[in-house]
Amino acid sequence: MAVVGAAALEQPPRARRPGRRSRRRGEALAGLGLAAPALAVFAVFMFTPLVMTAYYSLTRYTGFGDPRFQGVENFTQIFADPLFWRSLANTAVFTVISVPLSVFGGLGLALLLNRALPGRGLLRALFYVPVVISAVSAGIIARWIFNENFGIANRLLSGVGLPEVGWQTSGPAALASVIAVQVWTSLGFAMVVYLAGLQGISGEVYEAAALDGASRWRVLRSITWPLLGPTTFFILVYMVITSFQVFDIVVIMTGGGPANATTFLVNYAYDTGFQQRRQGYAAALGVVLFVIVMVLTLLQWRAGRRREVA
Amino acid sequence: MLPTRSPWSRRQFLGALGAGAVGAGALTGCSSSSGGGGSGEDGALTFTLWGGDEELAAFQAVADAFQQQEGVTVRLNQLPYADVLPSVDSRIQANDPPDLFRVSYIDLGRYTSLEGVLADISSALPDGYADAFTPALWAAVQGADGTPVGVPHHTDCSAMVYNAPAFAAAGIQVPTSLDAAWTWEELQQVLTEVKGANGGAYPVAMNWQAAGAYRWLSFLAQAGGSVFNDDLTQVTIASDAGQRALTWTQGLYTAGLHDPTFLVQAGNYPDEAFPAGSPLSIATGDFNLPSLVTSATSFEWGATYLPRDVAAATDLGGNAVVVTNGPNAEAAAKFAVFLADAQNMKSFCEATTVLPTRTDVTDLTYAVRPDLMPVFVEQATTIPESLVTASTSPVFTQVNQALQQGLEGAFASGAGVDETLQGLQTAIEQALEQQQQA
Repeated sequence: MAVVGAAALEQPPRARRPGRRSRRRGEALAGLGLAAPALAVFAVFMFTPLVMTAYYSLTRYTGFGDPRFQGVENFTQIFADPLFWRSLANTAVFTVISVPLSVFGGLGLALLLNRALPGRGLLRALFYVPVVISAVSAGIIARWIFNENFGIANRLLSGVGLPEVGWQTSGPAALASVIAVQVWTSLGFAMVVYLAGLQGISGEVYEAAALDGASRWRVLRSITWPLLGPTTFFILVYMVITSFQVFDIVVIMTGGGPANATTFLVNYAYDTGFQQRRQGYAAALGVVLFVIVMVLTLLQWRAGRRREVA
Repeated sequence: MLPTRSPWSRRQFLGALGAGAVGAGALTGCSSSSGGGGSGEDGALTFTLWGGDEELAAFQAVADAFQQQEGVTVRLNQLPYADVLPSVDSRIQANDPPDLFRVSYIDLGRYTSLEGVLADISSALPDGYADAFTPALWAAVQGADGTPVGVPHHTDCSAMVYNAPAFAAAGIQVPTSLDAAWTWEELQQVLTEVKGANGGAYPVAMNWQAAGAYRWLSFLAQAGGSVFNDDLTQVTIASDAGQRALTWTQGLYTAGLHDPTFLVQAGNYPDEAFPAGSPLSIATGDFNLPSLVTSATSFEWGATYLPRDVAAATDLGGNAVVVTNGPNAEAAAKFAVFLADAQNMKSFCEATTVLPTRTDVTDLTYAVRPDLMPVFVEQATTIPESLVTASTSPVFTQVNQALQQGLEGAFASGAGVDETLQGLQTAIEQALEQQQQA
């Protein structure tokens, strides 16, 4: 060992460096080359629009002619705009209810369908189908399901002796119907991601828990749930972002009504930018939405890191 | 664990990637530049529009005839109605507009007020061409500098379509002439009787949903009111007439006569539900007759006039076709002129059950429900001049937006009439002020 060590020490250190360096440089170039298409796509379709949106948010702009710089005027107007606060509150309520329902619902389905069950593949596919059908189709289906005059939702309720619900005429009920559709269309995604997470947990951990006599609930609470932490973090971030971006199912189902009860931030920004042609104001709404989603993501990320450290 | 050997070396992979990129580039070069609906290199014109099956077939027939006559191909770039204007706006901003696009009169003002976007088609107009059109509609297609930028292609208007057995069950005889149209009070009484005779089914739904909110202005006009004064410098919606119109229309909801699922913010429309048997009557445009013929097949239905108060009135529906300022503007202008000549306008209107904008197009034989079209033709004579002027003004998009918010508050939340009218007055005044500053 000592001889080998001495020989190694005698080797001039610079003799091997150029080879390593050139190899590393080559790898770095290859990596950059492979990442370049994705970076180019992100630069053109993500970073540039982000920067332009930030710029337009400081202007008065109809989309035609030159934008007129006006500082933070759009933001001042936004914070005094009751419809902005209404759409923000709607979006927050929508997120606070739909995300936990999707996450825990997806986890429950994954736990159920991770076992050996007859027709397991079919059941998994059935729960995943709403994820792959278009939001427009889902919205049209839901619009008829929740139609107060003809819809099956109220027929089922009255069939079991419950009062009919004003899905189209009552604000809270309309919001509930949109939340139900959002959960329906996102449950399958959470289920699939959780299934992947569950299959990544070693069976040995469960065997050890069984030998120690842990109950099912204890296994879920102390083994499965903590080990699914990264999966839950990913699903949470993804769901919060998609909830804040909900748009198409609302347009199809409720048109934002009744009385703005289902007007969300993105719908409001779209109407402002493309119907009213107030693109500077709509860009400012986009910036506010971006900041909110960014802050929520950072908070979740920090919470996730703290849990990992603990 | 031994690393598995990739079937390709890195060099091979990168080489293949490069070859693929070159191949993709070559294929892109082969593709037509009109892939996104842009002007073709072969001189073909692109025409962005929306339309039902009958309308698209009628447009295609005119395009085919133009190709035969002039040797210029017109490609129809069909989009859903809601996507047409955002698409046109994006393409104008990208300096790649379609050569022509279809636009409703209520959205026309937002384009005619833009400098340099639409083309002057004066040189393509034969002598006396403009004189054949209804003056107010021809005035609507004039640009900011007073030159024509397109053609008023057709118009349409709303009237009432009713479930005949349901009305017969209440012993109701519908008016068969404009002079005999129900007054507001008579219509309210009729609807109450129809509801009573049909197990409490909702007897009516108006067509003021979403961007159709402006159709409420028909009721304002029936009460003798208008949004603006004659020269569009003053907002006049908060008036006695406005109060009367809003009180009556809000009363349709509070009295349980108007189907409450059809508010202003709605994802569905009365003409979609009418064929299923509820509501029992709807206000709808003549352009909806072809779809109702195929969907409302389980009962007989007829048409009668909108109600009247101090006057009869209906809304200005219909669309223009405008030409954009681009390399194909000359050929596009020729097509627009061809599209709205007397013969082509007559064929289009007959096939799609809409109304001509030319006074020399008469004796139409409508393809669908020709028995009902006289009601719409006669109703169209009640489109008020003030409504035409307001509807085609550059600020009307904001007016319509204000109406959507204001009327939804009144109909869905029971907001007070005075409060709603004052809110509308303020919102429209602000929009007018901004327009004047722009």
